[in-house]
Amino acid sequence: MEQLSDEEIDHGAEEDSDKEDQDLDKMFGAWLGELDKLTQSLDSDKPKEPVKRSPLRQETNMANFSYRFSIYNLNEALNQGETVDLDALMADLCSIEQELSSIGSGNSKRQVTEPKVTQKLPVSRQTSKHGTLRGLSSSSTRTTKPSPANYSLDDITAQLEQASLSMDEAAQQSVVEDSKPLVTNQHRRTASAGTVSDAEVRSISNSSRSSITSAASSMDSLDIDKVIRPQELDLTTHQGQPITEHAISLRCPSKQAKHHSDVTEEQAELTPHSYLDRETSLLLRNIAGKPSHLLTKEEQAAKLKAEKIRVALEKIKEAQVKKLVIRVHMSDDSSKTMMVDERQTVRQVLDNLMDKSHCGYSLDWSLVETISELQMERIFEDHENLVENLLNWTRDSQNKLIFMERIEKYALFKNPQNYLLGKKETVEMADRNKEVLLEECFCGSSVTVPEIEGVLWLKDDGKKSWKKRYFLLRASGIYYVPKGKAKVSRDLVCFLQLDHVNVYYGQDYRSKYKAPTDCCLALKHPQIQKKSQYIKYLCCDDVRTLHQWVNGIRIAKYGKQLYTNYQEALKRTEPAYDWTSLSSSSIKSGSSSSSIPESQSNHSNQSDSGMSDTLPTGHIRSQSTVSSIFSEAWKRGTQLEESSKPWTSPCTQSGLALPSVGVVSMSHHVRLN
Amino acid sequence: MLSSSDFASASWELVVRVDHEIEKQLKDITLRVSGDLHIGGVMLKLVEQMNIAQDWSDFALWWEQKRCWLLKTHWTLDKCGVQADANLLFTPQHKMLRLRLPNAKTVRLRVSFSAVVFKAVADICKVLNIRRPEELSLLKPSGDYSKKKKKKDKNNKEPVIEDVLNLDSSSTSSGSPVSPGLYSKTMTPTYDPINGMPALSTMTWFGDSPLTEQNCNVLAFSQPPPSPDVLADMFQPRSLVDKAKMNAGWLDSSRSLMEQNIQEDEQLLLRFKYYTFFDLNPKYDAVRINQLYEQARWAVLLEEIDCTEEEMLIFAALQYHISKLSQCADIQDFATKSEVDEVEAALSSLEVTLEGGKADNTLEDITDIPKLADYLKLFRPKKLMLKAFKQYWFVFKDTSIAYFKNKELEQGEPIEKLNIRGCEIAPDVNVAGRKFGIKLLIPVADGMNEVYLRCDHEDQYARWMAACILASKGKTMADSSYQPEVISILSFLKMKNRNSSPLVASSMESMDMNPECLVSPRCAKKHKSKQLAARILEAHHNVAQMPLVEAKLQFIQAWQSLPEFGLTYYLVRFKGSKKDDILGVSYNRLIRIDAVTGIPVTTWRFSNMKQWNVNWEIRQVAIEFDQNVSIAFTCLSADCKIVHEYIGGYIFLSTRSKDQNETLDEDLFHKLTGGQD
Repeated sequence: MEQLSDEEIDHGAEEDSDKEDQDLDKMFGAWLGELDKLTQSLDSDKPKEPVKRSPLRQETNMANFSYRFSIYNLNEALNQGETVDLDALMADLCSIEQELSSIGSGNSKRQVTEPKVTQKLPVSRQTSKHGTLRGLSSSSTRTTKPSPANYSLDDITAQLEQASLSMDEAAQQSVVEDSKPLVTNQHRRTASAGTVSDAEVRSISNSSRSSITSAASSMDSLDIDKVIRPQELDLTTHQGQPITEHAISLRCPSKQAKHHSDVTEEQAELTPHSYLDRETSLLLRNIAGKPSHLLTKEEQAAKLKAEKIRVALEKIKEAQVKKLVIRVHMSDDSSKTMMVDERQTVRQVLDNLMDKSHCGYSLDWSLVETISELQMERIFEDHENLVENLLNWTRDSQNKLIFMERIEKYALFKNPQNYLLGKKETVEMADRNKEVLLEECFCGSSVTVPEIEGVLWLKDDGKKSWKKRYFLLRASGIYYVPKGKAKVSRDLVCFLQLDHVNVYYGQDYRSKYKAPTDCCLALKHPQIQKKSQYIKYLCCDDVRTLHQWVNGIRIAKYGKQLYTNYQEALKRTEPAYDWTSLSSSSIKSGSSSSSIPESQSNHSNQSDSGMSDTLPTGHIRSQSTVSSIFSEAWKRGTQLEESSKPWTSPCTQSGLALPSVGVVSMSHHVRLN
Repeated sequence: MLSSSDFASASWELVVRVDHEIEKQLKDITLRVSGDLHIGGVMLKLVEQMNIAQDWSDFALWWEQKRCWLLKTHWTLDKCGVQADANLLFTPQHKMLRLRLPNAKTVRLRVSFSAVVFKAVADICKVLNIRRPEELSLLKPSGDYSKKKKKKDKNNKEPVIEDVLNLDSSSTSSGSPVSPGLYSKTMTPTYDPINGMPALSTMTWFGDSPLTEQNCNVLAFSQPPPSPDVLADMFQPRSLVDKAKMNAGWLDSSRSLMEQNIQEDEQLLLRFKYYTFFDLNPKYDAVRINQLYEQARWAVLLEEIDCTEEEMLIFAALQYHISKLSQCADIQDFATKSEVDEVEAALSSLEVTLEGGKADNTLEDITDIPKLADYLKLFRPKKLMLKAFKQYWFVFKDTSIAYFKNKELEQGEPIEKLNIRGCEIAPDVNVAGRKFGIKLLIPVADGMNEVYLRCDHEDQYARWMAACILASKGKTMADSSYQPEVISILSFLKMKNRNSSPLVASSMESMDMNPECLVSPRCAKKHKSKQLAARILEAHHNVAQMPLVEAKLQFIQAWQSLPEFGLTYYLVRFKGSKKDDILGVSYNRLIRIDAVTGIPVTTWRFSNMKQWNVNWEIRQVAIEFDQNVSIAFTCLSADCKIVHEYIGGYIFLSTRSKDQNETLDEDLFHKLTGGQD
């Protein structure tokens, strides 16, 4: 616990009541802290300096951010006494561990298959402390045969030089770290190896139950070879245990370090490893510059080793991806805790959520960011990076991330005529013409920004008064007509350029800011989280105008990307469609005329339900035919189902057999309905 | 001399004038013919009678009174309606034409005067290496345009002629590849079986276009910006009616040049007529993209299309960037091949050093991010505070700036660390005043932090500014674009520097970079040169890293996204209306616009269009749309054929698709645009 930063301790102190929750929190805090440190330590080759606390917000580094953020979410969840999906979380964590140590595990498999190599590695065990290099070097010694030299000589020498350098550094580093009482990143790395085996165990236990699950999980990264290993098979018999073990190891790093060393010992017996040492690096340095055919066998082996190290380093680099534990609120007031990594787009997270919540595919599922302090919200676009957006939130933020169906999200594409033609009234359009219109607008060499213009109310800075102005939307930004001037392009005054701002829906500004109507939109830089003169508030006369402006701004800002997102989203609905289409062709054809009610209700809030060209969720839900049940079951069955189980009873829940999975998903539907 | 058969079939005398190129004079030849002699026979007779050894293959008969070609050689004179009073001219079908390209360059080349304009343009485009010729057409300069020019032409006559790029060497030497020599494979040209047109063996003839590499460069590289004076002198449409007049001059695509009274060596404008640019591809379309860019640029500079000031500045920045890059490219072009290789090698090695070896150097990549460290002055505007810059030791690493009280404290805690990622950066520069500031707008939770940094000199400024720009986009100085960015900032500073010196106008070089020539005269008048340069610089930061072609495409795209883009105006009178209106024709819609106020009244989209037709007698275009909407109008500012062709042309272009091969469906085009036939 000594490596916890003061921040984490703060959070521990904030915790109240429930002892167990506190423990859990700390456990995760420690765990995440480790992850962060791990990534940090990979960033620098220098011996670690103590982490500096910075007095100002913008100086805090990103890793701290992510950590703090995740803690926040957990705290909230725990304080509210809700059942947190910690099991799912754990699965996520494990998968990261797998990523980090996949080099090692992959290697052990190879060594099983190539036993003769193992005898070459007597040195390795001596240095088994240095977990970081374990995986890398062992994999490098795997083969002694020279690889076909298809890269140029120069390449090789360059790589060798590098490799030898890196090895020296690593050696130095390990010396330094040995002398420190701190638990270093190496230790942590090996600890992760311990967790991997847990994950393996679980997946194996799953595999014994349902063939589908095992197929899916083994594809995930685990080696089938390991199934035959006796020790691990033992563990499968008492399934709850590995998880508790895991928890203990997280809570107490020092103990855990010891624990893991046991694990490594076990592994070492099975699969001996070699570790890179000074000898090898010297060897490498010597052979630098020699043409490949002149190298001795040893030298070639060293060279290969270097190459492997390079690959491994790349993998490490890949692994230093920021991860965030987030809490997503569902439309039914429940919430889910999940982990996202910084590379994930909103689309990916949405897919994930749709799978986990068994809500069926629909275009309208959205991730909505609400900023309660400013009373505004925004639907994240599918291509946006979720973590990047969430990192803008402040530490004590009351912001929420809500997973819900929002018709506005793709209404633009369902009834483009209402948004792209700049017309005042809602009109009908044949599906074919809609396509033509979309094609025209988005598929040309440039995107046509709809000509939206009209009188809007603009809020005065710092005052609760609103002024009328004539605004125009152009591809280059939002403009207004200055007083006493005609509406000529060259006289327009630029109100805002859209590069740096996002568009938000304002909520209840009539009472908050005395807005003329409640149809308000706000434009601000995503990083602004509090009241500021840099936030611009506009108020429209009606909802229709509001939606037109918001969508117009989205088109001007994102252009073709928006359409690509829509098409991507549409594609996601297709697999479900394939299964249900067998019995639902009549519904599909019926829905093509369903945009009529929309025009009647004339865009009153959220009525824009032109579902003609999409597959609505209601569609799937309403299906009680065999085919849909089967397709749902199939979908669920192919995922690791324990991800959605509550923390308390992992064994019973994850032990569901295939047929009942279908039932589970159906019951979810009922609830959502 | 006359044979008996001649008398038998009631022969008569036909006078044919021969447009003899070599002797440069017209010669009358009298033939004795009969009505059942076919055109081919007449020509054969004519050639025999002249008895001049020459390649006559390109020659054909032109009927003066009827203003038509007699190209169907198997038709008899009777069938053609030729009688003794007919004035026939035996003249080459291909004649020289001067074409003013969108980039204001004039080329002189040999064009078919007998083929329909659509085909002639296709051939021209082949020579000029422009794909998708259906988007272009020939425009006869309008009266207004030339009137305004006249004044200028008096003093500028010489340079205009010098400017002409002669793409036809056959006019001087007969043995060149472009000469009609290739036609002489067979004495009589072959004819297209369907329309009786001579089947120009364009495939072989234009197979390798006569463009030498140098010529190609003239077409593919953008021209330096015009001087402000030139710009001011050029015709600028003031109203929609002015714009409507410019569009009256489009030639009829379904008739030949000769039939439209175009003289040999006359000057026409080659322009992109239809504003749907299909499949612009940097790989194949060097000339096309450049010409398109040039057309867009002139449209913006001459205010043929309106834009806002911000947009004008973006256009200016892109122009500056493009002309800058083009100059570099020019220089590179003059170098020989091997030298280019050397430059490339040097560049790539530079890249390697900058990027730290990239692929095979992951270690360095992780650990080695270059940093900047220097004493700079800092100022944070706060309320009720005097503007005072204070000096600190600044370290720029990764994408953030940290500053310390002095250098010695660098290892300790910084006073503040600014994360530049995602923040807005603006230059705060006055070269004459030796002020090199960077304004940072750093977004934080409760608004924007305004921070000013001030550098001592250009070099320092360029290095820090470039680092800031990259960092704001999340890149570090390890990125390969860092060095070019530094260089481009420095060169921009030089431009501003030159402007501030009093001795401008004289040297050509400085004119190139005069900010006034990057914007429309009206915009230039509104601002001081210095202000303008500063604002262009500001806009330039967003585009500074673009490669040349991308910058041109960006310009074209920005042009395309202007609300008025693609609208061609005509003055029309709607049926039932008492006043004239403006009709805007665009690639997807027709707009009726009030001629006085310029406010759009109604929009009809082509996608709703059911049918349209032309009543040629009353010259009225009638269009029918879905839901029983129908309109009819007569065109006042141009022939109704032109408007008709515009609409049909757009519909023709919308039928193109990517998977289709590149052969042009000429018949469909004529079907959609021809009207009568």
